[in-house]
Amino acid sequence: MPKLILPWLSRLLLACLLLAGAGAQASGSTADFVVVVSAKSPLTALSAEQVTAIFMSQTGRFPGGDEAIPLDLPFGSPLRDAFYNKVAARTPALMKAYWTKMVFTGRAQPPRELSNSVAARRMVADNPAMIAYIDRAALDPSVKIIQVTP
Amino acid sequence: MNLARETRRARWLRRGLDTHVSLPLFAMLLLVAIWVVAFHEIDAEREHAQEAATDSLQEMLGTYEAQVARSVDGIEQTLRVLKYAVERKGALGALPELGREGLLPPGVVFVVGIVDRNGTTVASNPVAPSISVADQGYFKFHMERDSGATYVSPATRDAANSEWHLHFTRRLDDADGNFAGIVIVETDPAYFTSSYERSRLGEHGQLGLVGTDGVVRALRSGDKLSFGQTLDGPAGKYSGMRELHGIGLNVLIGLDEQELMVGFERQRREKIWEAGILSGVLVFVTGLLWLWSWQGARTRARMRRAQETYAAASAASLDAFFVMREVRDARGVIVDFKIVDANQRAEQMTGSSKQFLCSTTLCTLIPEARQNGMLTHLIDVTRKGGVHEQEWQSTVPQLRARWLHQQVVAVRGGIVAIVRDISERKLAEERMVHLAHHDTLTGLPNRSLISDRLDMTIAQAQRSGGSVSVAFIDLDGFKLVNDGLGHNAGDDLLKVVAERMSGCLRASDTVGRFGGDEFVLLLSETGSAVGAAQVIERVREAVLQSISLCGQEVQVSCSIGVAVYPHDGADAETLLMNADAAMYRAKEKGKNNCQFYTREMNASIEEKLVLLEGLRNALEEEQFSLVYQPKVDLHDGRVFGVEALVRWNHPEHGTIGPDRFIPLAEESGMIVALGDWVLRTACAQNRAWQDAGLAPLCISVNVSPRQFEDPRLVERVQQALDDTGLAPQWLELEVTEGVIMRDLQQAVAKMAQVRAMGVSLSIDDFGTGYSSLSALKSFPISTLKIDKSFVRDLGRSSGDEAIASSIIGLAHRLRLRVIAEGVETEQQRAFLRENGCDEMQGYLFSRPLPPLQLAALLGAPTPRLAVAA
Repeated sequence: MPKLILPWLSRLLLACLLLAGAGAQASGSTADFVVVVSAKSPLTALSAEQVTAIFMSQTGRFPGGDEAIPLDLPFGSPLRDAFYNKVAARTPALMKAYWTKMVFTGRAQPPRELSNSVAARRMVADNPAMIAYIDRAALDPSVKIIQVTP
Repeated sequence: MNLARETRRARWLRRGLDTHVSLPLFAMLLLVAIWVVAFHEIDAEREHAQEAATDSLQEMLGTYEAQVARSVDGIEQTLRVLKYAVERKGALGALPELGREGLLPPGVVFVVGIVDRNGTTVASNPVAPSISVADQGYFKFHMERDSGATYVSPATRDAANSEWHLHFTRRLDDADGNFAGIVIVETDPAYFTSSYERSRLGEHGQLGLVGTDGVVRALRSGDKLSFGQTLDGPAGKYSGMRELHGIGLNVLIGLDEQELMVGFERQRREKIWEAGILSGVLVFVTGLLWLWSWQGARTRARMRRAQETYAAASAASLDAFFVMREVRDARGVIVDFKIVDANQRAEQMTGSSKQFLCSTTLCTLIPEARQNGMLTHLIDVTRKGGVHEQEWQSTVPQLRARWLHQQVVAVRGGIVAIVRDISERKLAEERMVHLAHHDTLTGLPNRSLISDRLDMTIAQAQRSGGSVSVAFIDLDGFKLVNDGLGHNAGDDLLKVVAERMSGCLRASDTVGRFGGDEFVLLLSETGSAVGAAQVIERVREAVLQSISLCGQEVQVSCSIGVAVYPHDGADAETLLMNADAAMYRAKEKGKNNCQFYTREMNASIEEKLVLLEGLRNALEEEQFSLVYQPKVDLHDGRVFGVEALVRWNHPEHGTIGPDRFIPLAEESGMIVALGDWVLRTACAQNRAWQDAGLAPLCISVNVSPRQFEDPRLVERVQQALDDTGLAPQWLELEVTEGVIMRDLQQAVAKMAQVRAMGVSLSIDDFGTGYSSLSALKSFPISTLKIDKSFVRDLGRSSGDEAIASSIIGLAHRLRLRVIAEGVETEQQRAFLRENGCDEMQGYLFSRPLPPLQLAALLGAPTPRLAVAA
């Protein structure tokens, strides 16, 4: 039993720390995002790597095997830059170079862009396959926050 | 000539086959092959690399063309969708509508914009500030004409988009077909070069878009992006350009030759390294092998030279060489020797060719070897090893030598026999041994061999209890022959005598020559029918036979002394000495006879030795004295002279006569001093008598042979006369015939000198020697003395009377006076007087008297007394 409890405890602790960090950052910055899926989705948490892979079209599925469709916010929006900076650890220039190459060589298309967080939330709420990052302020019960573990 | 060429070719071939020559040649061929293959492979690689590069270029060009075509297609699709949406919803509603439908291109890559007919941007995604593009080339292009095609501008920057970007534009028309603005899709030039892969294009490859107008829209080389410049077609060998139809663009791919060939260059270097290392290893290994084989070749050459030297040396050797290898039977026992090499001398010795010798075995060549121990000896040598030498007398007909010296050396697996013909040496040795033991003149055994034989015979006799006779033989009168007829005649005589003696002997007897005229017989008493005495008698008679020498008949006799083992001595030395003594006795007995040894003989010899010992001191101790025998004139009975005779008054033995000690003095050489003393004493006595007033007398002194031969004789006589003051006419010297005959010429000269001094000379003992009558007449003498042996039997022996009267007659004919000595009877005196003899001396008148008595005799008034009677 202790063997099972310990990793679980440590992961919980890490998640709390991350949330606390995010909270601290949110207090100092306007771009406070949360990663959300439809409230109907069984998903509760993803690792940063898994999130990055989905958003960089490196995979089309969640870890459980269900289809995953990522949604982006407009290019140049602060929330988008913060998301990629935080989760994928990539600057906007890096992201641009990545997508340029992907698009040109035809290997992948970037996620669909929605004009704002609310539009994204609405989209996610209806479709359990979708995942998006939205402004915390735009949260409502139709979606649920996915915990992003490092 | 042909042969020479062939041998030269053979030599070259042999040298070529020598490893140390062929190895470097082979290695060099290998080296050439390595490099030919290496360069061939490099060439093939280069070709392959170039082909691969061309293929790769074409493939990349195709891929890039497809990518660009698809992208441009997508952009054109977007432009058409935009145009449609603007025409349906108006410039402001188009973008939101498309956004809702998800038909807008991703803002991260593409910027879309809508420009109204005035050149003002009315909408864009992502959202950008509104600007005027009325003065831009692409705007003017579409405003001026309806091309119905997409226009691609060179890269520009503007206020709305500060980054360099390409504009893809299309014309918008209103319902009437008039210009209503343009739709734009902007993208970064880097978009078209994003498929640049370093792994394929390297750091210096080129990938990009060039407009048909020659202006570069985007060009990437490594990390460097460039645009705007003008380019004329593909640059370099590995670059290609393809035109995209309907849009006025070319795709360009360029590959850097250096980078393309990097792999090949690396392979080339590797190949060269491999070949180099291989070459190095080859050279090293070849060098090692060559060194090894060269040393081997040198060793072989040295061995060949050594063998040739050995062959030359052995061929020139005086010894025969046989190199033989063991032949073993199934059990490993040596049964024979196979000849594997032999030299020229061996061919000569065996009389067989080398080819034959080398194809045969010892026992085939010499079948006797199995029986006579030769094979056994050789097998023995192989077992013992080392060097074995021996000399042997060959009985094998196959070897052409009587005596052989062989040296056998054991070598591995066989033997080497060195055989020398030593027959000549052996012959010389035999000859030397013979010489050492035999007399060269007669061929008879000499003293040393006789001694050895005697020892041997004595030893045999001792064992068998027999006896051995040793006869010492001395020829009588040999000296006369030698002196009279010469040494060659003497040698011939000895040879004849030796032969005769040998002819008389039995098989078991030996005759040898001791030197001079002495011979020795060894006679063993073997129970043969003929006794030793008979053999000796036969020898004596054989010697007596006359011999013809230099055309002259000569007769010699011999005196023989015999000693018998064991009676007369137990060893060779004693026997020989005693036989010698017996021989002397035989001589004394008048020669030509044989005497057996008796003990008295030794006694007389001992006496002789005692006398000889005394003689040495006798002169000093004045033991000698002179007595004088008067000489009487037969006609008037007057004493006219005296003969001085010496006596030895020995302190122990009493008075000793000259017949006993004169020979001893003669032998020992004392005669000279004694004769001198006699001469002086006689002269002094004569002078004393004269001084005493006696009538002068002539005094006769005997001169012995040794004295006469003394070169200072004349001087001594003169000295004696001078010292005593005697007048020479009162001295007479008596010399025997033999003395004169020894060297006639010298004797006559000497006598003349004496005569010239005024001293008289007479010949003593005349008739006993061999006087040369022809020489007699030239002798400066005055008197002949008839020997007493003839006088003794006068009146009884007619022979002696004849001799005496002949001598008297002869003397008178030569005008010499004659004196007879030893006259003892009246009868003798009567005969002599009747036959005209002049003078006499003897007991009849007076025996020899001491000086005083003689003086008394002479002083008597009737010295002629006897004559009267």
